[in-house]
Amino acid sequence: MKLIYKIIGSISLSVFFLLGVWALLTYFTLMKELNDEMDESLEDMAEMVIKQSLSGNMPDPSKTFGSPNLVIAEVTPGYAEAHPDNRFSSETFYLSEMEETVLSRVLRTVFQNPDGRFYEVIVAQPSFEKDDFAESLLYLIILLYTSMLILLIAVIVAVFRRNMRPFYKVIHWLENYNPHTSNKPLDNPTNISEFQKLNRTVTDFTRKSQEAFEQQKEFIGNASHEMQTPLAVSMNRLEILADESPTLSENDLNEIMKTRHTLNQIIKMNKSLLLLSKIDNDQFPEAAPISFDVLVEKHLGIFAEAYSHKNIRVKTDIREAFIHTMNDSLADIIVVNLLKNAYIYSDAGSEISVSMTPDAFVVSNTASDGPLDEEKIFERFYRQTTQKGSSGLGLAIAKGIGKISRLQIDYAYRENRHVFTVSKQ
Amino acid sequence: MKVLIIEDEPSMREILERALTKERFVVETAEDCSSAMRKFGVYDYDCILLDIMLPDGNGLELLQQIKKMGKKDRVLIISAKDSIDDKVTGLNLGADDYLAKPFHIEELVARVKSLIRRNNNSQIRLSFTNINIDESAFQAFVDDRPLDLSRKEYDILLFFMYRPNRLIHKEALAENVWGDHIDQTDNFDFIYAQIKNVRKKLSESGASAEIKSVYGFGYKFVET
Repeated sequence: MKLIYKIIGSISLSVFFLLGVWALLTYFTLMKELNDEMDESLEDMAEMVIKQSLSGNMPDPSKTFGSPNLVIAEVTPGYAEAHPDNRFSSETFYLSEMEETVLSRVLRTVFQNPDGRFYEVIVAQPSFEKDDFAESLLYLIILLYTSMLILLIAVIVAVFRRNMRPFYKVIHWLENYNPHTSNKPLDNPTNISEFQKLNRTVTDFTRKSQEAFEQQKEFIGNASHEMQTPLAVSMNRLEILADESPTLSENDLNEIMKTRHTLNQIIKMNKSLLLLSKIDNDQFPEAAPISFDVLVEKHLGIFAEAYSHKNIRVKTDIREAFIHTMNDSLADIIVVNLLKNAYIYSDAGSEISVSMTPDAFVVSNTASDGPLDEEKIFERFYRQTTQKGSSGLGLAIAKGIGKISRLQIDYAYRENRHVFTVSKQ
Repeated sequence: MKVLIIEDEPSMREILERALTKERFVVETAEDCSSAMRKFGVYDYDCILLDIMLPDGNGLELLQQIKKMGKKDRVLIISAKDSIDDKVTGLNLGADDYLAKPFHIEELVARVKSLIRRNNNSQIRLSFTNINIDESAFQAFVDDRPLDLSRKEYDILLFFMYRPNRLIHKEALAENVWGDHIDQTDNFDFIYAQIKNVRKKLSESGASAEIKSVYGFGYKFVET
């Protein structure tokens, strides 16, 4: 979720309630005012009628005064005693003027004539005008309320965009930051102290990570390089021992050969690490268009022979060559590592499939135990199962080559198969 | 046949010296650029083994010196760097071969022999007992009778011809004939099948050398 949406969401929610309460309060206050106004006019009317009655001119209810309807009726002293005050009510009332029953505001009040008789005055005013008014008021308030909300959000968005620009610039810069390559310096002038601090911290951290990365690269390169000669010496001494000592028993010789085999594994691993560090340092500049179909054919032949004891079927579907401009020895390594991976991790009697189109080169093999961890299989020394002949570096090397050669290498688990796809970036 | 080894690591130098002496080469050694200069300034060698990283300079500069002096000595670069750049520069500067450390002893010996053959009279066939090989024609003979070998079989025989009487591990043979990528396979049966064919063809044609199995992990090419 984007920060701006989150902010708009939270502000809208709180403002929605606050403005809602405000709108309701406004509405009810106005309505109360309106009712009071109406009651007052009814009171005035009743007072006028009573005054006229007291002065001896009992008004004729049939002759109405303006709009209010008027009823004067004599009541018993007991009723008068029971209802000493003005009584307001909203009720349906027959308005003689309109000759129908409508919802009205009604005032009932009792007075005593000079002749001592009690009368009740009932004045009524239809309230539909008030309802009309209330309705327009409601609409007006809703309109005001929504436009205010929209304007508020617009202002917030504008202010947010303007003020948070340095923040987004830092994020964008970090997204494109890659410790493997040289990076543009962060150009993000701002006078907001928080953002200045962010700029400083981010620059600091990236510089440190780049340094650490360089050191690590250098260390791996140097370490594996320094190991070459001692490894060579150990290996060659074992070879001389096996070759030149006439007194060695079969057992001795076997032990030497086993040690030699293990030493050979270290040597291969060391070579792979050296290769990785060279790939990281981009020490393979020459590039030429490479037809992958030729490479696949060459290596499949060799692998088929070397792994013939596994009885693996190979299904090739090469419709058109996958051609990519890159270093030829690196292309060779990618093809070898993917094919070798398929061979090593295939059960005896299973099937490897190699297919090629101008856009992709796909190697897949039957999976014996479910999908691999997509995130980790391209990491150095990650092995789901220990398999003889696997250094744990083959896929990492392939991925590394892909990175510097603009090739995408993906893993997928489909229909019970491990599928590796090489495509152009 | 005289060989000069220019290598700063004493242990490595000793191994190279031992291995080549065993092959009856006359071996001289130098541990840095200046002593190497003194040696090849005075003597001619059939082959010079040159390490690139030396304490008092770069082997590649030494190579330039050798070539500037118009020497015909064959130069085999041995380097721990195994970098394509060095390989290309070295070969461009006139080195004849490049071998990355670590290497198998028998591989080094074979390379040196091959260089010296190229240097002297490469018309002469490579031979062991009554078997010989015309490398330019990719053809093997037993007593001048051509031997009909497949491509792989020829490669295997050539490999053994350069390394007679040496204990060869299956791994080394596989890497050399099938390529580097074949390493670490857990089953070397495919080598056995090819070796069997070569053996059969050699014995049928009356060769007086055979490929002997050594305890199941290697082979030795010996006179019968």
